[in-house]
Amino acid sequence: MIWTIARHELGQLRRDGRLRIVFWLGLIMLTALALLSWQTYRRDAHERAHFESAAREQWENQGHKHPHRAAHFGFYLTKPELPLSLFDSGIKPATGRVLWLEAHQRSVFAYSPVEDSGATGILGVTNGAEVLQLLGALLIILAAYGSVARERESGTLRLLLSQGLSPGRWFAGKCLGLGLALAWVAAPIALGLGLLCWRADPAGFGADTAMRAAGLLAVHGVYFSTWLAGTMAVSAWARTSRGALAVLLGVWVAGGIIAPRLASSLASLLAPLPSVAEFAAAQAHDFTHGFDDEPGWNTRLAELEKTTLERYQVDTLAELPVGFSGLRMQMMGEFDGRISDRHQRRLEAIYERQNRWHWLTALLGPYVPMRSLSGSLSGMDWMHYQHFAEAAEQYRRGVVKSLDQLLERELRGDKWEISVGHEVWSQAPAFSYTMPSWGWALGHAVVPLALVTGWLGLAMVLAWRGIGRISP
Amino acid sequence: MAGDREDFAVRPAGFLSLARWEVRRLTAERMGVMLIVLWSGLLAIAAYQGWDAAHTQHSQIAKARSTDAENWSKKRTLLIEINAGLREPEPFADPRSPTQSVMGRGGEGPVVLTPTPLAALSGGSGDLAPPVLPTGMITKLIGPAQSIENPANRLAGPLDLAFVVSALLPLFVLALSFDVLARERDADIWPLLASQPTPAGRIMAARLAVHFVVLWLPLVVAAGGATAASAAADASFAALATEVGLWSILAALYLIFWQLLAAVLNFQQRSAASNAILLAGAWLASVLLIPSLVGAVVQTVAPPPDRRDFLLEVRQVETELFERADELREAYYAAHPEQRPAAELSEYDAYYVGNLYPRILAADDALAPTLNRLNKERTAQDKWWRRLSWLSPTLAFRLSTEQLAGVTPSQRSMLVERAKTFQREMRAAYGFHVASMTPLTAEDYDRRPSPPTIELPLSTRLRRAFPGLIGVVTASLILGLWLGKARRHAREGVSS
Repeated sequence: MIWTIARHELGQLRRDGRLRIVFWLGLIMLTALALLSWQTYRRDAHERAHFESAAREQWENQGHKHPHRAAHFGFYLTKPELPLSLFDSGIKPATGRVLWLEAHQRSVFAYSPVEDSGATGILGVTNGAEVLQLLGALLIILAAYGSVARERESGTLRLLLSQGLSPGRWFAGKCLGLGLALAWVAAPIALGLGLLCWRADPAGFGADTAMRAAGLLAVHGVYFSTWLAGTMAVSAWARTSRGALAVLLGVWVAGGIIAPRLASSLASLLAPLPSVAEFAAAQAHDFTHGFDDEPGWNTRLAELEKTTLERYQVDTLAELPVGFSGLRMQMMGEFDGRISDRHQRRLEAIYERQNRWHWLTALLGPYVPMRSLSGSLSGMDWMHYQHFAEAAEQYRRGVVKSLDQLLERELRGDKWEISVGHEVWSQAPAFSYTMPSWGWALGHAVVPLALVTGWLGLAMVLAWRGIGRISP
Repeated sequence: MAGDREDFAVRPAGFLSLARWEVRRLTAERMGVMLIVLWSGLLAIAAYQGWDAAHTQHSQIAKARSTDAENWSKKRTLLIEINAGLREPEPFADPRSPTQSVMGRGGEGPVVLTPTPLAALSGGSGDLAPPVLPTGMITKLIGPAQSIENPANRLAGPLDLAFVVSALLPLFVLALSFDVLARERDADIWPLLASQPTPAGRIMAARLAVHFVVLWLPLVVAAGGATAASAAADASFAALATEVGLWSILAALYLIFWQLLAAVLNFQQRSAASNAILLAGAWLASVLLIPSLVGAVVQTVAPPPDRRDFLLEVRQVETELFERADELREAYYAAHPEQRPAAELSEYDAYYVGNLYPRILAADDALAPTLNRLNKERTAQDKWWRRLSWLSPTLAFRLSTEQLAGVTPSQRSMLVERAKTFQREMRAAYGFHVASMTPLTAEDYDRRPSPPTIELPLSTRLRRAFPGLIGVVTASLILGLWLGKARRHAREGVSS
């Protein structure tokens, strides 16, 4: 019986012209965005490799100069991307494309695409994942909003129930039909996207990427099941199909269109960040005056001079058998690092508070946590960027320290000027980075995962209770 | 008698009377009240957000100016005290030394791009587009703006009034007007209504006029409130009123476009549910599909400048100039022999004066072609966006409000251009002192060029916003013509 109802539902969906229009519009857009992303990914991967090798070549061939000036000349690194990023580019459009590593400065991402993008997308939809999540949910709403309510309005529900049909079985049959229709639409899309990702970078599509892809498939399954169960529940609870459609479109607009922007505005208003100038001034203040009862730079420098003179048993810096400027720069680098870590932690604490406001808007619908979860599994969320930036920061400190140690070794007394060349620059180790595993990604996406699952649970409870309301 | 007979005659209902009935209907329905409350709530959040963002920008400007004035005055006082023998200079902070006081960060002045009054209505690019650019003799003006904004926030963008109007207003039009005539058709009273002397067009116009007022008036209040609250203290009322008036007219045109679309659909023989689906489809196309496809087309025909190539080019130029530093220095002093330092310089000054400064002067010329190419690529992209914005009224509205608010990247590039001019003025004022290491005096401090403030005049912004504005008007006119045809068609349908 359930199977007969499901087949009947499938037939009805096939005949619905409005659904066909939305489906084809969505598919065209998804295909266009996926192909564009594929092209962009391939070009970007090629340019990234070229950029890093060219930047390294420039570093090694920067000519003869003072090591500390070379440290200011700096390195450029770019975050590696998984082929899944062509499906979900996550925060990439809003985050810098390159990381500049320079003396004294914590590495920050610079040159984000939005800086040059001219006009921005009105809804901020920039990749295939967002299109799929938004339009897929809309397609489900349009397919299922009248599933129960319309039959109630037309009187067929009364007829069916009067023939002894169990409401639960009838509802299950409807859900099965819609689920099969959804799977029929989703399977070629998932396969196509999977093939596209694999073709974009066959070598980069290893076991970890495959696990991430499977994770993406699973969480999208959960997400669309949430919409399906929720839509069926509303259809069962609503008195008219028009009312059901209004409620569902309201939830879709609130959760998918308003929530991301509302989250952004609430986060900025209720957990404000300092301005760049204030952030820099606070670090400069700590450098000059110290922090946590520790002295500032001048006192530290005087102390270093004193201890160094004592250590080498000399009266003036000029008599030192080592380069004092090297010792000074090492101490400055270490002090800068501690100040930078301290302020970075504060900044991240504010980000964390802001993210909580983002999670709060997940109450409006599952789109916000789903977007975050999808970005995380694609390796394109802030946690992945931060992981890369932290590795780059440790690398920066290591290279700058080795250059400062060179000053200590090669100079004598309080001299500063020295000139070295290729033999030194080429000794700086190449940066190597391993992206964290899918398990790590999932572990850092517990909150959005719990929210999406929570929405599924709520939708299923509502649908279950909705069965009890199925009456003519 | 004749008069009595006239009293019993059925007369067409007046426009105001029809409007009154629509107001009663809206306030009696829970959905109508809910929509009005929701609309007002969204506008209030967006207005507050806009006020906060604009207020923060004005505070940053005030802070940067006061800090600059304070630092400059402190250095001048210190210089006088040192010259009078009352104080000793601190290491690397001697106000007499050109390299330590005017050449580096300490000599930077805040070049300001004043936010336009309408900036409170269009969020812009957050801290990627700061209103202040500290600029000095050797400041690199080609780098990206430093940003510490949460990328998750930047990706979503703010809930500003421009977004509320461009993306959400059509949905409110949809919710209020999808059945503006179709409700009578669905209730099977359309023939009865058509048999009355009141023309259907008038009924619809009165209803839509009420919806217009319900949506537009709170919008004008929110836009006016946000603009007035965040305006600079010296802003004139007339100027603010003109700006808000223009923005409100543009919003009204956009609102009329969506109402006309609802009217056209309602004159056709469709059910309310079909109208809702079609309006939702039009919204989806205008807000999501067309802008995304236009974005894809623009990326293909006018790709954004490749910043990584740009970086490599800059570093290449810097490396070449570094290798030629001695040659550049000698060329400089050959051209300006009177500036060659008389005394031997310390290690620190020798580098800054003999190496860094001539290199930075040469870098300006060497990098000019690269920067020109970058600007051309950005302008081409901007042009394509404006050309294709006609395809979607939402895109046209969005672009023209951004232009009016002065928050587009090309408008913001004026800040960098003006900063370059200020940099040249600083070099003209203190270049001699730096190159010759002539100690500064109190008089030198007094003749510092004052950091400029850039205003984007309304006329310039309006000129740039004009194509988008025409786009919205044209779309509305086309719909107006279609509406006339649909009305005639509906009338013929009823009479037959």
